[in-house]
Parts: sequence; C-alpha cells; structure tokens
Amino acid sequence: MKVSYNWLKDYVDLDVDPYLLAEKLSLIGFEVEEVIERRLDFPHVVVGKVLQVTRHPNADKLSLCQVDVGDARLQIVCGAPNVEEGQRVPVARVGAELPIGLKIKRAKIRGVESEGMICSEQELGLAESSDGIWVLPDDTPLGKPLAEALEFETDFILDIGVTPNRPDALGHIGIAREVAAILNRPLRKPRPEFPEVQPSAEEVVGVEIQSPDSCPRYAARVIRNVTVGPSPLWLVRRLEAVGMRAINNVVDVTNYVMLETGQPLHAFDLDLLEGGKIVVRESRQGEKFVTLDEKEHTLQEGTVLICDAQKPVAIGGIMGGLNSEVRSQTRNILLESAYFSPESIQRSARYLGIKSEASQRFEKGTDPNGVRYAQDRATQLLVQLAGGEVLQGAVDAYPRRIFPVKIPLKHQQINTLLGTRLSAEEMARILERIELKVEDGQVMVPTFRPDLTRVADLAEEVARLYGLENIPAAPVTRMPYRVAVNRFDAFLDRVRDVMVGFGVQEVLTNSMINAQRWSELTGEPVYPILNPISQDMSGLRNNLVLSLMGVIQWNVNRQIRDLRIFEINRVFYHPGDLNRQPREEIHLAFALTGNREPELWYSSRQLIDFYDVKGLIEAWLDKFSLDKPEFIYYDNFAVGKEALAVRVKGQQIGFFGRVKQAIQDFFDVETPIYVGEFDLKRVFELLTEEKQYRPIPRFPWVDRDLAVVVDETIEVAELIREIRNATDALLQDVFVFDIYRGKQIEAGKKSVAFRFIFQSPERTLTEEEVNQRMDAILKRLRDKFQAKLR
Amino acid sequence: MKENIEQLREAFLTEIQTVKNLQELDALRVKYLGRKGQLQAYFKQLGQVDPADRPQIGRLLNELKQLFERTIAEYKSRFREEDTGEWIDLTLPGRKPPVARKHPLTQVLDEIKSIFQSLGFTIADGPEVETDYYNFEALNIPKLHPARDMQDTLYVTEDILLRTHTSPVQIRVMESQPPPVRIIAPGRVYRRDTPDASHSPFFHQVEGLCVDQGISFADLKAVISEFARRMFGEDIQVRFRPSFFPFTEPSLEYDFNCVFCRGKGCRVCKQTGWMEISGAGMVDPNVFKAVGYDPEIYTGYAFGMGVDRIAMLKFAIDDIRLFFENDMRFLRQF
Repeated sequence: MKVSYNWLKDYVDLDVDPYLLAEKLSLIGFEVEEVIERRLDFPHVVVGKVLQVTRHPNADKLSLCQVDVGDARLQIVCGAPNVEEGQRVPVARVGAELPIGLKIKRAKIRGVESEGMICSEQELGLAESSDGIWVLPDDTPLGKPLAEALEFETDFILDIGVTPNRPDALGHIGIAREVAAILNRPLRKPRPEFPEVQPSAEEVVGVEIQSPDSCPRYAARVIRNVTVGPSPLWLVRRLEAVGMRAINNVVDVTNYVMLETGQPLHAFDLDLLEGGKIVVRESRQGEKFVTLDEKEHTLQEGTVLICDAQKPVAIGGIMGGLNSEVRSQTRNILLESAYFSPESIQRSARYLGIKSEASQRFEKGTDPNGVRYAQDRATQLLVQLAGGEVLQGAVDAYPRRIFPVKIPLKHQQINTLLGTRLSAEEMARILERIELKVEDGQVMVPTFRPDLTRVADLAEEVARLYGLENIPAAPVTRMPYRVAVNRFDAFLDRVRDVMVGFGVQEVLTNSMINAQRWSELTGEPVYPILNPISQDMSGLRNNLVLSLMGVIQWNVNRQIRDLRIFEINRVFYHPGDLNRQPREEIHLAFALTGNREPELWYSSRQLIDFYDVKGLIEAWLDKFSLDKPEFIYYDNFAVGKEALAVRVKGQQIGFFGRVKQAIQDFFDVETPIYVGEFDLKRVFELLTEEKQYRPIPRFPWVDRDLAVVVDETIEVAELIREIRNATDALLQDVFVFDIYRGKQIEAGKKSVAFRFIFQSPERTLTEEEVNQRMDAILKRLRDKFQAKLR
Repeated sequence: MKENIEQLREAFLTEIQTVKNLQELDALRVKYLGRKGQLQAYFKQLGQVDPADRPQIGRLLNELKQLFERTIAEYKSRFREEDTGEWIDLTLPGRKPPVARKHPLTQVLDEIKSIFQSLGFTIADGPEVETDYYNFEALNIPKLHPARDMQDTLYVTEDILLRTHTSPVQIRVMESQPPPVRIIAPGRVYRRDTPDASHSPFFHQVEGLCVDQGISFADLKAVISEFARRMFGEDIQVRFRPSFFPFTEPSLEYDFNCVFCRGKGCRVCKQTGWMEISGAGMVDPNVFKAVGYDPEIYTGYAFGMGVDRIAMLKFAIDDIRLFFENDMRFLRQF
C-alpha cells in the first residue's frame, strides 16, 4: 500500500524525517519497501493557454500551436491528438529539462520553428503513461511556474508491504494510528458533519439483505442534485500521489475515503436503479453480469450480488456494474458502504480473476462497525465537492451484528512467551497506544482489528510496540541430555566425503523433468505435476543418471570434456494411484567420462573405461566395509552392454555401466560415458556398525605365481571360483596380476597370470603344503577349462 | 703421544678432502680405521703409556675414532646421493590426484547443520511430495490463502503437492513424539516461480523448531543471533522485525548486517546495511492443537532460512541459476 507522508499529517503531527519514519514503521511490522520522493518542481515549465491550433504544413500528425505563456506568445509544434484551442496546458520553455531526461531547445521540427513543448503527465514524471498532453483546469493561473500554480509540495511516498492480517492498515488513518503509537502522539480522525434534508433516505430507498452470511451489513445513503465534474487539484494530487487516477468528483471521493479509512465505497446513479430498492442476494449458477470495465462475467453460485428491484447492479465488494455507473449527467446518488464476509469475497474474487482495490480490502476483513463512519466522511466530501443535498439518515441493514471481542490480559503468559518481565499496567499502557482499551483485566478489541482473538495475538502487539530490540536474548538454554542422532543423514554426509575424496565432483540438479520425454527414455511412468511451470518441468524424476547426462551435455558443450560427477538426491516412483504420495528414495548417482588423467606430461592418454567405474564402486564398497559384493549382468534403460548390478548380502543395491548408445545420442555426447546409481537407504541398512578385531597373522605368508592359457571368453570370476573350490582356507588371496593376448598365444585365447597368497594363522607353512595346493589348482583349471600352463 | 694424535687428526681431515669417490673413501677408511690402520697402532701403544696419562690418552683416541667414523659416514652418504644423480626437472607439475569438491550449497548446508547440531538440534526429514494437510492445513494456513493458489504451488492432485517449505516436517515430528523437540529440517522445496536471477522453482530451506516448557522469544533471539555469529563472524548484528505468518504468533522476520559492508551500507544491501534472511516466530497455538500438544503447557519457536540465499550472500553470487547449471568452472571455485 502506498502511503503519502503529507497525507498522514492530516491525522498526526509529523516532524520526523520520512526515511526515519520508514525505518520505525519497519521495526513495528510495517515493512517499508521503498521511500519515493515526489519533488514536484519543474524549472522553466509554466502554465500556458493554447490560442490557436493549425495543421503543420509538412506533417499530418503534428499541429502548430500558438501558446500564450503570460510574458510571451510561443509557436510550438505538438504531436498530441488531444490539443485544442482554449486549453490551459503545461509548457516546457527553452532551457527546461524534463524528468524523463529531455532538454528543451529551440528547434526546427519538419521545417517549422518550435519554441518549447506542451507536456503530458508522463513527460513530467507524474504518471507512468499518458494518452496525450496534460489539460489543466481552466482557472489555473496563466504564466505561473507549473509547480507554484498547482501548489505542489514535496511529498514522500512510503510503499508499505502490509501483511495480510492487518486490513486496518490499508488506509491512511490505520497507518497514522501506528505512527501515532510510535511517536506517542494523539491520532486526529476527521469528524464528518453536513446538513441533511427531508425526506429521509428510508422513505426513498429500501435495503433488503437476503444473504446475511456473506453480507452481514449494508448501509445506503442518498444524495440528490450533485454536479458531477472534475475533482479539485488537491484531491487529484492526493490520489495520484498514491498511484490512483482521478475520474470524477464522485468516484474520486469514494476512492479517497477508501484510501483514508480502508473502507471501500461504491456510488450508484440512483436514477438507474429500478424500484427504489437494493436487494443483496447470492448469484445463481451461470448468471451473467457486465462490470463497469465492460467485461462480461459468468457467475458461479454464491457470489454476492447487489441488485435493484429488477436486476443486478454490482458484484458486491468486487466491482460495480456498467448499468448503474456514475457518469457526467448523473444527478442523484446512492452511496453504498457495506461489510462483506472475507471468505465470500476471497472465493468470488479468485474465480472471477478480479483483484480490485475493494476486493483486496474486503477479503482481508474491513471494519463492520466502521461502515457508517466512512460513509459519512464520503458524504461530507461529496457535499463539499459536488454540491447536492443529503437525505436524512442512512438505510442501514445490519442483520448479523459483529461485536468487539474481549481477550483476558494474561500478562504472565505473555511474559513467558516473550521472555519479558512487564507488569499488567505496562502492557495496558502499550496496548492503549493503538486503541486497545483495557478494563478489568480484559482487552477490548475494536472490530477494525479482526486479527486479534487470542492471548498470543496480544503478545505480538506487546512485543512489536515494546520493541523486539528491547527484549534481551536468553543467555542460557535448558537442553535435554538425550539428543536423537540422525545416522542416515550422517551416512549421506560420509558418502559425499568419500566420493569427493575419490575425486568426483558433487552436482545438484533439478528434480523436475520433462515427464513425457523421461517416460519415453526410461519406459516407466513419471509422477506428473498438474500445473507445471513448463513442459520441461512437468514431472518428478525417477532416476538421477539422466540428470547427470544433462550436466555432462551442458559441460561438454562448453568444452569441458573430462568429467567425474555425482549427485545424492531424491527420486520419485509413481505409486500407480495419483491420490497417493509417490515412493521417495535417496539415491547416489555418478557419471564419468573423458580422459582418465588430465592431458599432462604423465598422462596415459586413455579414456575412462569400464574398469574405472568398476574400480570406483569397489573402492566405495571397501570404504564402507561392504564385503564380498556380487556382480550380476544387468540391463536397463540407461546401461546394457558393459553393465553390472551390485548385490551385497543378497540385496541388490544398484547398478553401473556404460551408457547405451541411444542415450548417448539423445544427449548428443560422443565420448563414452559410464554411470551408476545406488539406493542409499538400502546400502545404509546393510552397514555393520560393529567391527571386531581379528589378530594380525604372526606367521609369514607364501606367494606363488601361476599363468594359464584359457579361452578368451572364460571369465576370471569363474576361474577364481574354481581355484577357491580346489583349495582351502590357507589360500588367503588370489590376484590377477596380468592378462596377456598376443603373439605367443593362440588366437582366441588369453593368458591369465595369478598370484596366490597362502597363509596360516597357526604356523609357518611348509613347501609341501603349498605345492599340494598349487597342484590341485592347476589340475582343477585343466579339468574345468582345458587350461594350459604357460 | 698427544702431539702425534693431534697430527693424525690433522692428516685425516686434510686427506679426506681429496677423496673423490666411494672407492677412495674405502681406501681411506682402511688406512685410518682398519685393523692394521694408523689409529689401531696407537691403541696398541697405549699399554706403554705412563699409567697416570693412560685414561686421558685413551679418551683422546676414542674421540678420534668417533670423529673418523662420523666423517667417513657423512662422505659416504654424500657420494651415494651424487651417484644416483639423474637430473630431474623439479618445475614440472606433479602427478595430481583428481580434486573434487562438494557443491557450494552442500558446503553451506554442512556448516548450518553443524552449527545447529552443536546447539542440540537433531536433523529431521520428510517427503518432498506432501499432502495439503501437512503443507498447509496443519500449519494454520487457511483454505483460501494465496499461497495455496495454483499460481504459486505445484500440485499433483487437489490434495497432493510439492512441498512449498520444509515446515511440514515440523508437523510430522510433533505428531510422532511428545515434547521436548529440537530439530532442524533441511531440504528441497518447490514454488511455481519462473526461473530468473533471483528465483528458482526449487530451492533449499532449513526449518528449525524448538518446543518445551518455557521456551520464549528471548530463546529464539538467542539461537538466531548465535547462528549469525558462527556463520558470518563475531561482529555480525541481527535485527528482528514483526511480520506475519499463519503458523507463528508473534511472527517476525530477521535480518543480518550486510556481510559485505558489515552494516555501513553498500551496493549489495542497497545502502541499508541489512540483508533480509528469513522469517521466524513463536509457534501458533493452532499448530500445537493440530498435533495434540497443549498450548497452555508448551511454547516453542520456529524459524526458517534459505540455504541458497545464505550461500549467495556468503559467496557474493548474484544469480541463483548458477547453482543448478553445474558448470564445472563455477563448481570448482568453492
């Protein structure tokens, strides 16, 4: 809400610097987002009178104007369509510098001399846009500097972010109340006074509320014989200062009083209302209505309609109708001031898609008992500015009376909540600064503060007015000894540390992905988003490796080709039934591509291959002491050709391998990529916390080498399995220390060189024991695989 | 005898300087220290020395022997080192193991977590896809609240949505245990924002919650101030401003001194000296009622903070999208 500093002065004595005031308001809960200085001083801009308008000889759209500026007659070329003879206009004379950055010089425009410029409000920095030049009232003194003629005074506009619980602060008086509380000064509210004539309003119009739940109160006043015309400059300027355009004196007064009190008002042309009657009812499904912005709306059931005896004339609390709008020939007015239930307005404004100044106030909750005050204030101004006679009284239908609430001032409870030590009297004094009277230990909450219903709400008022900065921070805290530890979270941290330690960079990617594309790529349904921001974020991902492919693509396209990345994040599995939450898992995924080492002098100049990724997994499992992993051939949407699943203790924990060509092509990356993805919850559950020491062997080991030639397609894992089967526990370890294919070997064969470690925990092994076992191994390999000793 | 010993010492020290390699050194060793060497000859003569002088002479001879041995050992090491003398270029870069880092957001979150863990908070967790009840209803956010609009929140069905904050974790934790509660809930949250320099449709929050008997705003002030001090330094000031959130009462927002100008006013903080961090407040009694805590007995505070925002402040990053592009030239800077 935009608040004018000068306007506030009407209600509270102000001498404090506007910027300081802004800071003080922020500290009591009214965040001032911006202070805008409106310095209205335009050197070399004066009031002129257009004497004559003729066509520019060389340009169709330009006019040639003779303008009297008091001490001179100027010839000015003007491009505005609305320039007319007799108008008073702002004229920027040679030497003027306009706020939009334009310097006025003597110039020839299309061959004709121009000695200045007739300005629009936009060009003077007074409006964001203008349709044409600014036409001033006819009595504006000719030749005077514009700022002086219009009695401009520098103002400061405070743009306040009023929180939704404070509808009372959506008017200048409401803000002034807070300012008065800050400065500890009295608040001065205008006292509306005006003469009334017979007959009484009740004799002329009736008000019938058929939907008291959505419209608990509706008051109508009748003002006859008004003269609709432009508003005086002071009013126009106040409206403009806070960003509202002037329309005519009647509409402007209703807007002005809304900006003053926070109570929206609406003026009907009484002569356009049939049957001398206002009926408030709820709409029927499908009813149509044209609002004053000439838009037709199809209403849902239950929207509050203001009707005359025959037809709807306004959508209650949201916008008036085109059929009853005040226009220049309007003589008689019905002035509406009402209270609508916030829920009803919220619902209607939302489906109608209308956010009017009125609806935004009603939906937060206006003051049901401030209805008449605002109406009288507007009536007073209407009489002042538009003339007319006020019929006696108002027709005030108030079927659902709303009473002020009382809250017990439990000062100890408030002190406990805030950590303060204020007495009940001190609290009462604080609350009374914002018109919360305390009587017999009860706080009387006026109806303009619908947000205050509980002791906790009072605590907030005490806290903000006492000053949050005056409440000292607690020096100590009471803390339970028993603190739960989130071991899984700690495990995730460790996994990150281990991956980073292995030289793999962490990344974080978007969980929202293109649902259609991903379900095509993965062959699995993707959990969809109903109202996505875009197609590319229309679902939640069911794996991480495709996200990492995206990261690789991004970097490769930027010439970064050697990549080792990982991510730990959630994946979402479609539960089949969308009315259920998806199953969420926390995964680790990684991707490796490019050169194994940077291209430096020591580099092997080799690309990352399958054994890099397998080694990474093995090292990773080793770090977490996950012994004896099993590797199983595997195939899924991402990997297949060189791919394995990993099983630990019979549980599959993830997979890894070379990315399929189709996926590589989809992401348009040439170099082979190796990826893996693991379910970390499952890994976590397999971790063994207890570790028991085993004695270090005291006796020396014996190592033996053996190279055998076997068929190319025989797997090393099979050979090792048979080697183990052929021996006993004395064989501690087997390594493959060389694989050879080439000249000395038959085609289709390979030589596999093993190193065996034999050891006993109890004794030094004899030569004979070891030889026995080596013989058994060789025999087994011969029998099973036709292996030949090399 | 004394003079002879002194001469032998001089001769040794002169001669060893002329030695050029290990062979010559070995010849020298035999000459002076060998079984038939010069030193041994003096030891043999020791019996003929005046018994009164014998201990002193003996000591001198032993010292000389040690000097010879030590000096020869030094020369030996020197020759051996020179022997292996292949010249290597020390200016070439080394064989560097691959270096990687945690994502900057993880680094900042790690710091936040460790600060709060040291203050006795436990890390809690909940689903990213939530129900309307946990995300809004139980947090006292009314049905027609603008945050529940399809414009702001990403929905799956009318009742299921992508959580807009980590506050639902509060509710889940309180439902599952009686007070006292002291948790932080870090995690990813979603809003229906079009990405630009200061908006991402997903980002990261840490929600804090502390409930017990006698917890007050003074405690909240203390915990936020302590966090600020540990995160950004001793001299950081914290400011609290009243605000409004449906799930806290009183509600407030907190600001830290600008971490760049330390409150003096600069371009980053738009000359205000302050940086808005996030919201906090005392848990609203309606929230306690939703989880079955008695608001007459227990009070508590809750606070939130944006990990991305803190990281942006800490590293002077002006575009949130950089975090999720994962350009290596960005990630390697942290």
